[in-house]
Amino acid sequence: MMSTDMDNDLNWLAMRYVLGELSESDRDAFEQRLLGDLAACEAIAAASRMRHGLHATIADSLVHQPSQQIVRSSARSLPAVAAALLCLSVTFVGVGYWLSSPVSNHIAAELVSRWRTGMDASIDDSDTSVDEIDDSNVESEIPEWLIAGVALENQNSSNGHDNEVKDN
Amino acid sequence: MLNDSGDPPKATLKLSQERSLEERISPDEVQLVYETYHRELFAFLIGVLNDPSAAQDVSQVVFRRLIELGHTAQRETIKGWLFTVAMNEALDYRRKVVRQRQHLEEYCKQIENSQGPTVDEVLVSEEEASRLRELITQLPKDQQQVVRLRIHTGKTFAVIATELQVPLNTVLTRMRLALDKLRKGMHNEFGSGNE
Repeated sequence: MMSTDMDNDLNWLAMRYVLGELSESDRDAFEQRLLGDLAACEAIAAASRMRHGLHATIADSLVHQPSQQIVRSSARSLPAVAAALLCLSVTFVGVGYWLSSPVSNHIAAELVSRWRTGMDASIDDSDTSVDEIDDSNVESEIPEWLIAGVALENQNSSNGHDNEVKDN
Repeated sequence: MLNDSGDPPKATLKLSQERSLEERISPDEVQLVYETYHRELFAFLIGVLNDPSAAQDVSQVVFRRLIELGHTAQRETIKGWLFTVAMNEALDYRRKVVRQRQHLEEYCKQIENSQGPTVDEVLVSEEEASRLRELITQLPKDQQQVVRLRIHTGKTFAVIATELQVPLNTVLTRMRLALDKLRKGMHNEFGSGNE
């Protein structure tokens, strides 16, 4: 038991030496010991191998960890993503249906106008001169669902006009 | 001096007491000593010098000394003589050579450009690394944490203690307990594994 404790003490001392954790005086004393103590030399060799083994092992496990986490977190978030997509679809259909009603004929244009105004305001906030704003860039910032909604409204309004003509 | 299967014997070697001072150690004996001890000697030199390139240089010097002076060994076994020479040469090397950082950078460049194994791969086999990986996951979380921080990030125990807001002795104890468990686990699987 006692020799095991002494072995453990020597192994621990050797590891601290290899890691550079000994004070200068302790390190010098230990190095003097290494000149004549084979067991201490063997402990250094073992500590060095343990250190490099751990280094390789930990580095390897950290390389694999992020991708596994991404896969796991992606799998967990799939139901949430599906629910979000469903909500977006319903919203899109709802907005499109709403925009297609005759009452909202001008509202779509109003929305686009307000959106553009909002973009202008945000650009103003960033101290950019109004004259420097390129309308085409602003145009491209309008979300697609809004554009689609306007297009649908325009299509339905033209269809509605044709139906009125037919009815008449 | 090789056994029937062609492997070097596990027992430590003894030099003949009847050899005259003029007789050098034979090439076969040099080869046997090299095959038996070079891996452990290299690990020892890396532990002392913390520089794989320097460890290689000193290792070559040691075996050259073995050829030149191995027959004069007064010690009971050649292994003790070998490690004493290695330690002396390592201290000498450290005193003389100032450009340790340049050597490491050159070595790292060689590693990047070459297909050769890394120091980790040279010192530890794939089976040993795999077993270590298992053993680490079996450690208590607090011990795992200290081992990872110390070995992978290279932070000192004092810095780790500050970051974790625990006493330094707590960090040292966790590391020591972790190493004891890892050492026992490896010993159970592979034996001493030094020769």
